[in-house]
Amino acid sequence: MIAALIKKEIKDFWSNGFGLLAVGVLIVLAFLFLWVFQDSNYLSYGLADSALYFQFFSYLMLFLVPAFTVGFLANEYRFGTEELLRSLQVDWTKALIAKFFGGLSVVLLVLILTSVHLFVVYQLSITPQEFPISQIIGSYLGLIGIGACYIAITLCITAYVQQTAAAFILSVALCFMIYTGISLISDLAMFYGGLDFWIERFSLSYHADQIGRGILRLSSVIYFIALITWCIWLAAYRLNTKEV
Amino acid sequence: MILSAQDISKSYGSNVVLDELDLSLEQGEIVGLLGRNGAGKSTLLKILAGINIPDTGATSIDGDRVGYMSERNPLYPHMYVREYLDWITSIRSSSSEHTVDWVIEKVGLQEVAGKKISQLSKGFRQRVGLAATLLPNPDVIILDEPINGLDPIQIEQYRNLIKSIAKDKIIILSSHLMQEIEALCDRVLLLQDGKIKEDRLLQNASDQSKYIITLTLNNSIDESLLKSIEGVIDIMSNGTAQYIIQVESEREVRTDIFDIIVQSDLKILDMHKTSSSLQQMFT
Repeated sequence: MIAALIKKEIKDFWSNGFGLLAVGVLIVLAFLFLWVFQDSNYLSYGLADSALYFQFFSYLMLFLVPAFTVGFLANEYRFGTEELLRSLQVDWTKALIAKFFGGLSVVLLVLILTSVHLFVVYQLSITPQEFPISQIIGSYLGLIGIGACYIAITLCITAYVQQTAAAFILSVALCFMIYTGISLISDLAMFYGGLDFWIERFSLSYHADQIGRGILRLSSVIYFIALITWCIWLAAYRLNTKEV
Repeated sequence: MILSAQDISKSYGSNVVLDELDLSLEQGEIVGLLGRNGAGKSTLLKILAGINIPDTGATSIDGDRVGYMSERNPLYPHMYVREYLDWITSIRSSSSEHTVDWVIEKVGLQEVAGKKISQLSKGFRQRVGLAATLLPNPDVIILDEPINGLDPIQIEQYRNLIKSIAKDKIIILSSHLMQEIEALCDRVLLLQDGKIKEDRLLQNASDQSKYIITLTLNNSIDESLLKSIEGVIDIMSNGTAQYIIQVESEREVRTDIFDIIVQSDLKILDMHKTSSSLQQMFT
C-alpha cells in the first residue's frame, strides 16, 4: 500500500506543474547567487570553497521545502480526498510516510540537479586534489537531513493548520527555530557557560554542521530520526482522530 | 447478512446530531434515508461507513466490506479514470474484488476511461465515484446524496445502475428528494431529532387514494383558484409561495395548475409529484 501511495505522491507533485516550478526557481536562484550576484558569487569570492554552496542551500530550503510540502495535505483538504482516504481504510501514518518520501524525492532531485555548481567549483580549483570530497559527501547528507526534517515539520503543521498561507508561515518559522533559532537561544548570556552546551544540541544546524564536517555521530542520526518520527506521529495522530 | 447499529449517539459540541439511534438493514434492501438539511444523514452514513466514530454505540459491519461515496464525491482530478481505479485497487487489498475492467463496463465508463478526471462532466464524475465504490465488491454500499447535480437523463441512468447492482447487497442512500427515494428504494427511513422517526417499506408508505404536488411560484396566488381544479382535495401553504396540493390519485391536474398559473401572470419555479404518505412523513 505504501508503495502505491508514494508513487501517487511523486506523480501528483510532478504532474501539477508545481514541482517543475519549484525546481526551476531553485536552479535559477542557485545560479544567480553562486555565479552572478555581487558578494555571493564564487568568482568574486576568489576561493573554490564548497561551504558557500551548502550554506546557500540550507537557507533556501527553509522557504522552498515548506512551500511545496504544504501542498501535500492542502490538496487533500481542497479536493475533500481526506474523506476518500478514510473510506479506503488508509491509515494516515502510511499516507504521511508516503508524502514524506514524495517530498524527499524532490529534495534529492534538486540537490542532484544543482550539484553541477559543485562540479564547476571543482574544475575551477587550482588544487583539485585537495578538494574536500568527504566533507562534501557529509554536507550533502546534512542537507538531505535538513530537507527531511523540514518536510516532516511542515507536514505536522499542515495537519493542524488547514489554512495554506498560515501553515506555510508557521512552518517556515518553526523550521527556522529548529534549524538555527535554538542555537541562537543557546548563545544568550543567561545560558553562557552552563546550559548552552546542551541547548545547542537540540538545534538542527548543530547536527547538520557536524555531519558537514564529516563527523557522523550516532546522536545526530538519532536526532534526525527522532525529529522526523515525532513530527509524523503528531500529524498522524491529528488526522486519524479528526472528524471529516 | 445484516447491517445493524445500536445506540448510536453523536454530538458536535452541544449540538446532538444522533441520539441513541438503532438501525437494522437486511441483504437485498435499497434503503432511502430522508431528512432535512442538518438532520444528521451524512453523519449517520459516515459512522456506518466507519469514517467517523460515534460517541456511544457500535455498528456491526466490517469496514472492509463497505463501499462509501460521499456527497462531495472526492476524486483526484489530475488522475486518469483508469489510473485512478487501478490506484484504488492497489490501496484496497481485500479479497473478492471486481476488476477495473468490470467496473468500467458496469458503470459505463468505457468512453472516458483514458481521460483525466478533471475533464469529465458531473455525471461521469459521479460514475467514477460509484465505480471506485464498487471495486472491492462491498456487501454494503453507502451513497450520500448520489444524484446531486445530475440532469434528468443522468438521474435515470444512475437509478438503473443502482438497481442493477442491488442484488445480494445492502444499499443505503440519502436524499432530500422524496421522488428520488420513491423511485429507487424499497424502504425509507426518516431521520429527525437524531432518531429514526419513521421506518416504512415503501410499497406500504404510499396512500393509494391520493398524491401530492409540491408547487413553488415566484409569488403568492389566490388558493381558491387552485382549489377550484377538479380532483384537488386540499391545499397547504407555508406562508411563502410554496403550496402542497393533495390530489385524488386518479386525477392528473398538472396541466390545469399550469393554465391557472399562466392566467395569473405568475411563474412556476418548481413543481413535482410525490406519494401522499412520503410527503406526510417529511412534513
